[in-house]
Amino acid sequence: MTHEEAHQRLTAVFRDIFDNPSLEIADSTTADDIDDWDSVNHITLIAAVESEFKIKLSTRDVKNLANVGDFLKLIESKAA
Amino acid sequence: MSFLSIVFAAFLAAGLLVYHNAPVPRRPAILLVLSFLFYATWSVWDAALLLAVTAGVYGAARLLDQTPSESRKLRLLTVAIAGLLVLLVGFKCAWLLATQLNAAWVEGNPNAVLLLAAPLGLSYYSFKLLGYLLDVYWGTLPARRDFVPVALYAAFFPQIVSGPIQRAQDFFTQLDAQRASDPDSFVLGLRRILFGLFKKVAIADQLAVVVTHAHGHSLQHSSLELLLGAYCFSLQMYADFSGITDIAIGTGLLFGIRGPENFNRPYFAAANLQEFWRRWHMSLTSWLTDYLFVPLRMTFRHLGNAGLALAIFINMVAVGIWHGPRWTYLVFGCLNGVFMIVSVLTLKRRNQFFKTRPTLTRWRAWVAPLVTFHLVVLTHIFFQAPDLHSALSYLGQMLHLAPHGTVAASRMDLSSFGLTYGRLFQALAGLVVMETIHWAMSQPDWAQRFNTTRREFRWVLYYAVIVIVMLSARGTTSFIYAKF
Amino acid sequence: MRATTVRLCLFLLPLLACWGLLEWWLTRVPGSHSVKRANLESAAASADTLILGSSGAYWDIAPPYLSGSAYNLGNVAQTLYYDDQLVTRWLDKLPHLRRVIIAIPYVSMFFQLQGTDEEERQYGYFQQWRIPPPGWRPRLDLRMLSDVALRTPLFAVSSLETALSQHLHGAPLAGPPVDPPIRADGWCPRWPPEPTELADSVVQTKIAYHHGLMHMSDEAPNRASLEHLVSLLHSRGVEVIIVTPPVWPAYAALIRQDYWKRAQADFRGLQERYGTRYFNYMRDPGFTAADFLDADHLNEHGAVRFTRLLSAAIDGSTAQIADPTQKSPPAETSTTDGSRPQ
Repeated sequence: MTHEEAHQRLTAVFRDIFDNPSLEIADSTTADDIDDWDSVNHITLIAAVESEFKIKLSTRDVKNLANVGDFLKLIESKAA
Repeated sequence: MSFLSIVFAAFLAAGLLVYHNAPVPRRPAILLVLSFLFYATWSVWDAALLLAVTAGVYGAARLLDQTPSESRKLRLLTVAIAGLLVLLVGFKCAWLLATQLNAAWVEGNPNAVLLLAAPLGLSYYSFKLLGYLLDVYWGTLPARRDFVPVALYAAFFPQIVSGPIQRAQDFFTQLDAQRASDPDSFVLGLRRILFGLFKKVAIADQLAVVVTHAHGHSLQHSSLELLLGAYCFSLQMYADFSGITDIAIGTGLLFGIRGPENFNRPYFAAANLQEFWRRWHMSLTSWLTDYLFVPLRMTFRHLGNAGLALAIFINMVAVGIWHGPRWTYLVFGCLNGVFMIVSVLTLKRRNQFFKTRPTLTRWRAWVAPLVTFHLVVLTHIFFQAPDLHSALSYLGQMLHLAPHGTVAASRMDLSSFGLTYGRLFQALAGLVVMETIHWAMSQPDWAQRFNTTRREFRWVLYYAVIVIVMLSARGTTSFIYAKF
Repeated sequence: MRATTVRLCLFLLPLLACWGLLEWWLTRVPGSHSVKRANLESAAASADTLILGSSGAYWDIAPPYLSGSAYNLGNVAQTLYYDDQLVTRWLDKLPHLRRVIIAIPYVSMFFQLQGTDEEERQYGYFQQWRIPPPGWRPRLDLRMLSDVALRTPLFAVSSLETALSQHLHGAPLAGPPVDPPIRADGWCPRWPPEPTELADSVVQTKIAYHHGLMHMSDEAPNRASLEHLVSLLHSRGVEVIIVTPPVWPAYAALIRQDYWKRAQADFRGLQERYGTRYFNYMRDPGFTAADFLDADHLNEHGAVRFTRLLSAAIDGSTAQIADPTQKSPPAETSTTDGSRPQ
């Protein structure tokens, strides 16, 4: 899976969770940039990412994510 | 010593003199000594306990960092957390257990109160240390090598009485970045303290008259009067608790440490209950979110909505019983849990409903905060009542179900509370002023803009507030949140 | 930073000046302690009887109806600690003292001021009588030193305002008198009575409130104060008489026997060791609704009647009127003796 592919798939997950078909995410996007990205949706997002990429994330992994870029790095390291 | 006493003022003045005249590297140690001095005036034994618990957590954190094995890390963490929780729960429930098991001993023993009372600030410092431990375990923060910052974090006297619950990372960052004394921070601190005193004395204490009477004699009041009593309690709690938070944050600022905010206009800007809890007692709810809710949610993430509901419910029950082992606090937590679950699960659908109806959306902007406020007022009836029976009889009398006595449901007689229209008006005016100031403080650069006004104007304002506070003061007073 | 500190001091200066002015003003405004102290100083040289206790003495015992020359040193919520301290400090200034009457109602043996609604009274005792509060914690309070803090800044300002406006109309500059008024002999007669206070629900609320104030653990320090007081007086040849004033029957019916028996046992112990006399009027049938101010206090008329009875009992008979638990054993196990006034 390339970085482009991962980014595309993650965007699809985001669009689904936040119910916004035109949502765009960049490496620097954080929770403050997206309206409904609160602690409730954060975990829903994690679960959706896990099922989309067929990976398992731990609480420690999830705690240290500062932005979407970190998220992508995490996904790529787990999926590899 | 309590915050509102001359000894505290003298202690603070002396402490500030020593602190600001000392070289910067020595300041954390001085602040630590001051904090323990403050704490020891409440109880020397409890101060020793605080020191011991802090040492234990400090040691555990360092071990966690040095242990490579995951399973050993987890074991160590479990032991440390279990220890802290046993301490916290044990002390919180000690009085309850003792009176259940041997009431006669409790009554006849003059030392009973001393032995069984929870140490001051136990809820606050145990949560701080628990958070620190978990942060180290999750790798968010390295364990501190020096004992002094960790001890100061737990014992920091402005925050130990009633919070706010500052995060370790925030505290350590500020501590490490300390340079020369900052007069701006000092003045900001004084202003904050003054504002807190105003809220407490000129607003909360005036409303307290209505509240104590309404809850103490609920069957002698009409439905309308009890409704007023319920509103007054929610407003009193807001003024009282945000007041003591202001004093705590202000006192911290005098030493150059800024504590986290606890309130962000919860009553008038929260459109739903989840939003409310992101604006009320923020340091506690964000702590529970990060250290309880998220781990729970992670555990239940594959259970879909049921998992979400369970995580929310447990979280809100925790908020409730953090306040103490009383049925009323448990009900308070459960009610919030149920309301929150409904609100969270239906939010998407509600948003979709309103998306296509612009006029209704305009109404929603006004109605939603009102509805949320009333839900909160309802839960507060349980929070305030001494036991379930009183809470239910209050509610029943207020809603005019099986009314007691001959008082007309719509009577509004302020004198039955020992209140005058003048006093009530003063409290309401104070609330309006308070919220206006809160709104102003939420604007960007408010501090700078205020500082550029003329000094004479600012001083007259301060004198006016001080005079109002002095003339509203009535003997001793205590803060609602100082006993948690 | 230094500039800020200097500015802060300048800022505080006018406030401190105003505070100082108000403190000076309050020295000219009488309170119950300053009035009683001044009256005691006048009466001390001739007083042969001293009346001590809480409001059960202050309101219920009328000095003119006792034989000899009596001074009433009781005060609202005055605990045995303060009774003891007052006697200890003033005994030498009472050359003619031959007897002391202490009113000890139901609550007093199990009540301390600290931690209750009335705890601020401790500071009045310190400011006016120089009696420090028991325990060190209350001594840290601002109200030890500041009368403005004790009587509230609002009271200080409003009393000054009233006095100034009256002064502008020709009156001398003086603070408002104490209310209710206190006589030169220390007695504070209460009038008019409050008949609604005798309603059953009100009485129940009141005694529940009293039970909330009472703790078994307070008995030991109170007994110690009482014993010290009695032994000191005994050693100087001053007679001690303990009295339980009358209460409304609905109130008496709800007292807890475990507390009351302990108190009675304490009084008996003092009788045995020091020969104190004890008179129990708690359930005396001679008092009607017209005599009571509220469930556990007498109004002016009741106080006169009570003092007359007490005086006759003290001076008339040498045998004491024993408490009901000694006279009729069955009463020991019952919670009420069933008597009601006509």
